[in-house]
Amino acid sequence: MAEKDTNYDFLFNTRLSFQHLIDFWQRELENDSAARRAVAEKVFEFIPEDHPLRAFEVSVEDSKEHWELIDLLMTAVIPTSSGRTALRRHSSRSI
Amino acid sequence: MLDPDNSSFTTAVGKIAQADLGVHKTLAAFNVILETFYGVGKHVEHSYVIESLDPENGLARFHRIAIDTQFVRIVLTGDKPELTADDLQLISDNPSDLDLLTSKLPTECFEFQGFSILRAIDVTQSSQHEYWQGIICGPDAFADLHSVHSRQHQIQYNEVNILFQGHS
Repeated sequence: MAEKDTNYDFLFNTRLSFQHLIDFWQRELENDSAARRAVAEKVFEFIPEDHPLRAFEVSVEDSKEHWELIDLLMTAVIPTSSGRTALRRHSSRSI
Repeated sequence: MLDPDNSSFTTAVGKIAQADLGVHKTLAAFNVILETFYGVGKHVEHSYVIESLDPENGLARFHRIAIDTQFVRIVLTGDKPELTADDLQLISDNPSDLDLLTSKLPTECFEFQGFSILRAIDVTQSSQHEYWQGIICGPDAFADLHSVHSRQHQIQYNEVNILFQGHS
């Protein structure tokens, strides 16, 4: 294995996994709010038990293939309103 | 999202080169290790500012990159390295010294699982404000004049006018 460059590389071994994010949605299924439970149930309709994003380790290829679902999962932390379109519109404004 | 050649990320605010991220991501990782396994410090947001050129007009833009590690878990892949109180103090005094950190906390002892989130926030206006404020109010105001001239073309006149009005 090639030696890592401390000026460029991330020095630790890594494993891409969405398990902790999916765990968040799992907890949402028990949320007191019926609306949030309903959203979580909808999320799991798209990500069944055998879905590649639930794997112990997700490949970069799989993450690219299922990017829309990752976007959906990420609404847990990044609201849709601050997503790409809104941010791009904001950042392209002149100073 | 990582570009096909793995050299940069495409974000809502433009491209961020991987090379600009490596050291910062590693330092953030050491910080999380110290917090998780050694109880050192409190949770801090890891952020830094990068400069890039706006492809539309060639002007300098600044983005604060914040690294969010809430979906990262660290697994020990061997014995936990022992750190003495002196080691912890040394690290606390030199938090960005990668040689020191890698010697005390060998990277092969830890594996990062999950993913981190990079948030890119456009801070161009505040960065320019700080830049001009430093020049106008700083002790080296005259020495910095040449860099004012060299950068003046990069900064839009409206912003300059506002800043000078603020200090007149």
